[in-house]
Amino acid sequence: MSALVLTPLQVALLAAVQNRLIPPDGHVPGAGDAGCAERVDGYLVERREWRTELLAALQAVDVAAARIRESRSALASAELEGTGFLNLSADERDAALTAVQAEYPRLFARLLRLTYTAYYTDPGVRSAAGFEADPPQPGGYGTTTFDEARLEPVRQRGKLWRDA
Amino acid sequence: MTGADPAVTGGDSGNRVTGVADVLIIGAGASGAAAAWSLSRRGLAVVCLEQGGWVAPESYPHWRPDWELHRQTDFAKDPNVRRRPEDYPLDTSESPINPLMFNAVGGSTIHWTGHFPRFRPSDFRVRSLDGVADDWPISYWDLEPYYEQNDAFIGVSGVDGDPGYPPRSRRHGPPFGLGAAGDAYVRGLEKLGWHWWPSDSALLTAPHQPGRQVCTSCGPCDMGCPIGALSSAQVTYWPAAIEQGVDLRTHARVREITVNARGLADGAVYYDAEGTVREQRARAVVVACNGVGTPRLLLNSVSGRFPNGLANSSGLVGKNLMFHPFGSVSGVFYERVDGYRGPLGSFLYCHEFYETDASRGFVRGVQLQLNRDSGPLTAALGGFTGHPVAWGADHHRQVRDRYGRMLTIGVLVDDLPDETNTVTLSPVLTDGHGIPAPKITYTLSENSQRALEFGVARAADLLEAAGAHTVLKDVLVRDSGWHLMGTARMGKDPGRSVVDEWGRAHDVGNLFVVDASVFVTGAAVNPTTTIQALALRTSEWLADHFQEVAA
Repeated sequence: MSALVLTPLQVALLAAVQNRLIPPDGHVPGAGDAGCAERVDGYLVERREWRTELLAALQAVDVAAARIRESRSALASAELEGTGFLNLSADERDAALTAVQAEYPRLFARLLRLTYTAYYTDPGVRSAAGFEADPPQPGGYGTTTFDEARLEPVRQRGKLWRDA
Repeated sequence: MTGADPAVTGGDSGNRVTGVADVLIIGAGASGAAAAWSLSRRGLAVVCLEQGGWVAPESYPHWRPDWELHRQTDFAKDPNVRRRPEDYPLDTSESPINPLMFNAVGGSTIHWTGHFPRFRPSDFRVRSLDGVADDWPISYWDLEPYYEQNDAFIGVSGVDGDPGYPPRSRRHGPPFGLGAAGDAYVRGLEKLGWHWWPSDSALLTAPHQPGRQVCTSCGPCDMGCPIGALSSAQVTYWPAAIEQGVDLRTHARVREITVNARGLADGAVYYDAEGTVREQRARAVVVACNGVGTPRLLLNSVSGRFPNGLANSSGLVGKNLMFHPFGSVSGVFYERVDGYRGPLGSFLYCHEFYETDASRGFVRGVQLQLNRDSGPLTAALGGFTGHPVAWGADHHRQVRDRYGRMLTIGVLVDDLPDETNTVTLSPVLTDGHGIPAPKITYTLSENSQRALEFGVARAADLLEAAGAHTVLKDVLVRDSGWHLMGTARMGKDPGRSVVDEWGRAHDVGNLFVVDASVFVTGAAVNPTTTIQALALRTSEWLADHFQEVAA
């Protein structure tokens, strides 16, 4: 799917972020690998308030990543090039996200909510995770019979309402 | 469904009342539908103007794999989030609770769990019994025949014999089975020795009315019901009302109610689906726009004779806004409780703490509505308490621990009237037609705060007694303003109320209000059965006295 609101670079960044928010777990894919970045991009077409918050969140991730990169430059980890989130190790990525969560809780909450929404509304993910993959209809889950004998202890308490 | 083709969003009823209608009803939700049915069966020529359209059964999210996304978008309960063209915006910047509603044929009964408890007798006598607020000008027993009529018409399921209430007739269908969720709740309730009962439920468990199916326990009633099992007004009263000739016009947004030289209501000015300004004349007008929309319309209906809004000589139109301040408490269990299998919010209730007990530190009472939960996204986002599971390495384990293993209790408290809690007109915000939008100003009272804290603590006690290992709480849920009440209150004194005991405006003899705006107090139960009973009672009186009150 091509990018709609986000640039291809932003989609790649978002997917990398999402793979840390919901990492792979055995045969259950990580959120970025499951295509959640593209799905979130689709949501942003209709929802302007989400767009503003998500773009700001991605910017905050970039800033946090640059800060982490700067702090480790003294250690001369020359094998990792660039300053962005994509050039950080897994632990550093988590540290950057933790920093964004602490500094911009509202933006991070939007990022998290959109990621969870894109992930768990995917029937493929639900199926892989062992959750109900089908929507509620058609069919529902069927009904059981009520046993009125269960109410006997309540009936025996007698009148509980006030006359008025 | 029968009557008009509901698959055609925006479709009208096919009936046409030409010239002056006997009665113009504004709003096609719970109360407007009941009034339309009641008045038209008496042979009156009825026009109903509704700003929304029909919601086509196939358009509900329940059929779609991404159904939980739609709770946050086009089927969101908050009109400020949903933002369909038929919705109007609300300024909620001075309220800790967001009013929630749905604008369509069926109104907010589309976004509705169908929990259908009646008021208790004491709810009509809070001044006499507890020394607070005001008594209603009518009693439970005045309303009881209309509760019965409404229950019989729409087909309520449940069990009679609850010792928490006066006797009521045998319910149309049996209650839902307890299942794993109910077993867990009852285990806790029996341990604590607390009252509980299967809800009177506006969900069919036995066949009733053509075109409606029996509930299949699919779960998310809060987004409506695509099979007609939920007794939303578009599948109960509307087909019959249309059969009786009611001229229901959809996508018709009323700008103002007009008055004649004698100060009587003589119709309304509205925008039709194309945005053209139209006028509908009528000999009597019934307002059914909910506790926010009704005062908004009355305040927007300004004339030389009524410079402060229609029917507002008391100054009380838009005042005394009541919600049911709502707390949400979720329990997480080790074993599966099948929280997503079965109706979300019309299941069981506990009224152990319903009547006043001064030793608790507040007056009036609390209902614990024993609900289920919902799908995997809801589990990940924290059920209905806003506590999302962690991100990162432990995420999957935490979601697995919650999904199908959560139950959520809704805590409703009796919110007493306060004149400083208001619906006014925003000086800046308008809807898509340029009509001033409502502004909500509301402060939670100390009594309601105490009641909420008490109720949330009891809900936690119950969930722990039921076996929950973790309890999550949201003491005051912001998105919980489902019940909008009190803003055109009923009373005998024209100086202290807007309408009389029949819902007839003190100032305008052929103007009636039938929604929860007329509530004097709110009780601690969901209001829809009381709204519809009042609408039936008012409509019967209007039909009986039509010739003497009509313009």
